[in-house]
Amino acid sequence: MLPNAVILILQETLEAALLIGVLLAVSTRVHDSKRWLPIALISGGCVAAILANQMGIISEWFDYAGQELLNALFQTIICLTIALAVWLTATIDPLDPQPGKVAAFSHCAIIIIFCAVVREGQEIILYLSGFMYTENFQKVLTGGALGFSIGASIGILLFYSLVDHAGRERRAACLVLLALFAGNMLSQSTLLLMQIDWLTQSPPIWNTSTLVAETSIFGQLLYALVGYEATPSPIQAAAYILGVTLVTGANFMPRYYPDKKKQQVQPVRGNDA
Amino acid sequence: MKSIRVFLVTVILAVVTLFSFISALRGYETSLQEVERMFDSQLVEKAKLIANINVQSIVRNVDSSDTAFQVWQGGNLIGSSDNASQTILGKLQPGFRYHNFEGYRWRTYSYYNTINAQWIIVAARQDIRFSLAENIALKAVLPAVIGLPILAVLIWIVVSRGLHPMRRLAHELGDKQANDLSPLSIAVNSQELAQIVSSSNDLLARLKSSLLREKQFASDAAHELRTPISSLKVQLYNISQEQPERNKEFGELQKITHQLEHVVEQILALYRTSPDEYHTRFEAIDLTSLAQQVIAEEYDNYERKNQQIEFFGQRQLILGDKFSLTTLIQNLLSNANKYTPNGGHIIVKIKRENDQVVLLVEDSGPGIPTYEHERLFQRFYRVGGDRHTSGESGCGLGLAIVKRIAELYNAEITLEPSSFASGTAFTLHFSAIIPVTLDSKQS
Repeated sequence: MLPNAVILILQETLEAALLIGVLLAVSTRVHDSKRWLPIALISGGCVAAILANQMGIISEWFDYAGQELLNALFQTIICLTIALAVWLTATIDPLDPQPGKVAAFSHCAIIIIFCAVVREGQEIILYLSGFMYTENFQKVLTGGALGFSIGASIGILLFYSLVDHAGRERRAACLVLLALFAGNMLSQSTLLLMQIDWLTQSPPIWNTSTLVAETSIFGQLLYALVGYEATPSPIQAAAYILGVTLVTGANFMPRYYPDKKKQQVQPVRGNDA
Repeated sequence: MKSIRVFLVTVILAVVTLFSFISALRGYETSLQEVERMFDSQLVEKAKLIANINVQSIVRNVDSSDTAFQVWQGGNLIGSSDNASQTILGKLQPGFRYHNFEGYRWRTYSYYNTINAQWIIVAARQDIRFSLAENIALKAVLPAVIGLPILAVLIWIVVSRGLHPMRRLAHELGDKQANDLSPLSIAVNSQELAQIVSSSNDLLARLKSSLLREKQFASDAAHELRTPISSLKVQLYNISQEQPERNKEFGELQKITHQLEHVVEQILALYRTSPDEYHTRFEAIDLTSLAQQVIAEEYDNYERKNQQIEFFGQRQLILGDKFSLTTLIQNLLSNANKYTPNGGHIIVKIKRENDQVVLLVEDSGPGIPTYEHERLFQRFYRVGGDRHTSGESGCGLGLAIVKRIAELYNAEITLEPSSFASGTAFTLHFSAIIPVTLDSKQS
């Protein structure tokens, strides 16, 4: 009972914690106020509780495919918003950050964390509430506390290890992690769509479950970090590549289509009277 | 990293949590295996006990329904507990295995008694065994989970205690006045901070000595230069009167001499307004009338560039001295005049905000990039440095003087984009002394 609770809540917490860690590191670069974090966490937590409470009704939508569709929608929104946030950070000059773009980045961060917290939060609440009045509740709660704390600790350590690095290295690391995360989100959303037969199921292109089991802690960490799947289908792999390409493209696009306003030569003036 | 304390507490807590909880999970697994082994050895003991008492009938299970047993001899069931089935529980082969009956999964142990040639099979319900094992293992994990908040508080206290001398040092440094270059008097016990205090005191001493030398040099040089420059100007005037046909060359010479005189005057002004040299007795000054006076004196400059200067203000009194405030306004207005293009706009406003008098000078010049704001008030600094393309002559001291005078008045200077399409607005907040309501507007 306890290991199951640890694995499930670790999986949910780790994703959100890593995402928060990377976005906080990015926001440090663009001199953002980080007020988006409490806003997204509180609002996401509240909406997650409401959705978990109403999940019985939601799951009946679209011929009993409501829950999967809702989660796939959240994952797609996260992927697209990550691409937008990466594009914004690529256009923000850290020495002279434009307030409008910094505010737009904050809004993107709110959307990303809000969707992640709603998605992960409602699954945690549903899982815990299933054991609420059973003798196993204490074990599940203890397992949940262990899983949550391990996930949060990894997120904190990731954030500080990213912040500790110089601008260029940090930016590259954040970009890689965000691109892989976006690919993971899009890949997961296709998996959900296959589960409800909105996409055709096909045999996996490889099987690495004997090498790294998805249920092991290392497998969970890899899953949260790079979207590790032991048995991915071709559609999942294609979605993964699409997500990674989208975010990478968003980062490099400003280099080929630079902001025309920024290209204009700044007039100078003296300090002398 | 905004706070060393938050960094240390969160990172230490994260590392401790990660390792202790992963260890707890490993401990949980090991405990579970140990308890399972213990239950297995109980099954072996029970089987041997039943073999010794030689059961040959169906007996009521007085212990509980979570264990069962069978005794087989020559392929016949000769005895069992009342909850055991009539078929063989598992196999008649020695060892442990699992078997399902009565809707539960059972752990079985088969034991062959060679004396009676009997097979004794003892079974225990696996769900109950697992639940008991998990409860025992959980007790090993719970203290780590419950202790985490206590650990967090302890780490917070220890880190705060460890950083206390550093906070004291930061307070002492923060409380120092801008002109206070005296050594730090804080007593520290730690080696690391003692080194910082010692290095800071050395630095302060070197800085003080360097500033004194710089001031002395500026003062001496300015004084020594003033006299020859005045003589040079007189001589130039005389020669130009004698040789009117070379007016163009003399005009250039006079312009350069004027620029030289301006630099020297600015250096002198900077020296005069040094806080530790500033002993002038402050008096009530009407900032509005002073600003009007400066604008009137400099009006030719605005007219020459066809600039429109507007003044909005009320009579506002502050404590100060006329010379320094005139220099301040002159420098701000001269800066605006120089870098506002021909036909541009300059606005000067003096207004009251609560207990403060606000002086605002804004222009429609090219504006100053945000990243230049900090260095703008440094001595001899010009925006763009060698790439300065405004075409205006200057020595880069004007705004340094403004800042120095503002520091004397504890006035805060802010730079913002002006209300025009481009340009800069300089705002200074002075402490007001007498409330007045006389409005005036001049343009």
